[in-house]
Amino acid sequence: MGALIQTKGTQALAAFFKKRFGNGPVSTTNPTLCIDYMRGISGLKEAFATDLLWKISDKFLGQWADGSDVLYPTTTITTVNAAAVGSTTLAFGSALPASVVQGMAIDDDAPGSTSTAIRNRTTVNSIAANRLSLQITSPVPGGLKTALVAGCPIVFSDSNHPNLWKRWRHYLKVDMLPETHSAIAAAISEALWDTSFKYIDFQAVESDSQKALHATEFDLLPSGQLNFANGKKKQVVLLTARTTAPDPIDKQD
Amino acid sequence: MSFLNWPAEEVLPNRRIQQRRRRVVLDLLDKFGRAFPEITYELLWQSPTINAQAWRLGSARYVRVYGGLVRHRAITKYGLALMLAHETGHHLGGPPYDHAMPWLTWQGQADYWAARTAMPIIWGRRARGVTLKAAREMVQLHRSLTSQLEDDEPDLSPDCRYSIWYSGALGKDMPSCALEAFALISDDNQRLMD
Repeated sequence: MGALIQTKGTQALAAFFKKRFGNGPVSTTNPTLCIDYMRGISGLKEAFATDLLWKISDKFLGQWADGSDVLYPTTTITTVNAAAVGSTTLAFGSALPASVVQGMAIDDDAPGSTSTAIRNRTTVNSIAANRLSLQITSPVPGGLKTALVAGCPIVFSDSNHPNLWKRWRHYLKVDMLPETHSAIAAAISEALWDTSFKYIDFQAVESDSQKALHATEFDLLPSGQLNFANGKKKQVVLLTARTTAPDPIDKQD
Repeated sequence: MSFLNWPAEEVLPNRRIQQRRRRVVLDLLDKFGRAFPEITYELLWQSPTINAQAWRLGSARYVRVYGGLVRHRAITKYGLALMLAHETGHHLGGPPYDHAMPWLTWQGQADYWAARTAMPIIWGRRARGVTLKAAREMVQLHRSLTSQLEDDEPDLSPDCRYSIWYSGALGKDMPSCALEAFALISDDNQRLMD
């Protein structure tokens, strides 16, 4: 069972994209608008003009301001040292970014990897003061089933939705039609290159067929007039059937 | 904006009941379409999703209802009407607006507008009684579906939603639980932005 849309997780995903391409500040300490931060990431605008969405998502890991992934609701870190079977400690070659916090779900099933050393439902128990290592929860899941090799990508995500990024990646790679990829990428590309766009708005709607629609729109002023001066946005609507992601990937937890 | 963020149906009612439900909802869609011609109402009968959704692109506004909700045994045509009124309220209910989708009326206000404005347009003098009956059905459905979702916490509790519908139907002000919920969501949204 499972739907790409109609779950709280997908609402979270839509909210994530709206924030990443939004007109709010990156953080309280970084007043750069999110869409402008996107525009400043080296190679991202060019990628949207040429690549498939899943390739772009996989390419821009760990490059957001807080160290999280640009287009997944996760933080992926590939500089882990080896960890022995039964260990609950993971050590890293450099300090963990600010986006990694206690309680996050942790997985080593990163994009492009087939490793499953870390059991399901493992979370970050504590982080060392120097942020070079962390403890994962035990006895749930009870440590590592097999050795974790050095250089293995580790994925940190919201513990309420640890499989959301996997479902999303499955959807991008398997379910999304080439013309849908093209339509969404073209809309995002246009809004990233044309700085008169103030933000991009996303919505997913369940449908019996798949189609991406987009339009250039303007926000309303309090007077009810269109805000031509400062309210230009790109609206993207994804009409889609349910994802075909299998249950192990598509668990609704 | 989803009306209910819930799972899909698991057991289908018999064919005769299904066809009756289909006629009922098509009749309601026709009524709403005539009452609110600026909105396009759609039925995805084959979908098992227990949900309905308001969405838009450009000046086009849509309300889409899925088969899983229409066929659900916990609600009657009254509950379906309130659901359609709620989704219509996301487009026409006015402020306060949703934080994530500022072009849509917030969930609680959509409920209030549904009970206070849309249901009387559709049901006339019967509106108050129909709305209260529908509200009881929707609360029961809301409760049963919420219990299936471990980590899914809706913006509004079933009890608060009933209070909103009740207040709207009786022409009272928005209840305090809704105002408190909206303030809480505003705080959460601010924290997310930080």
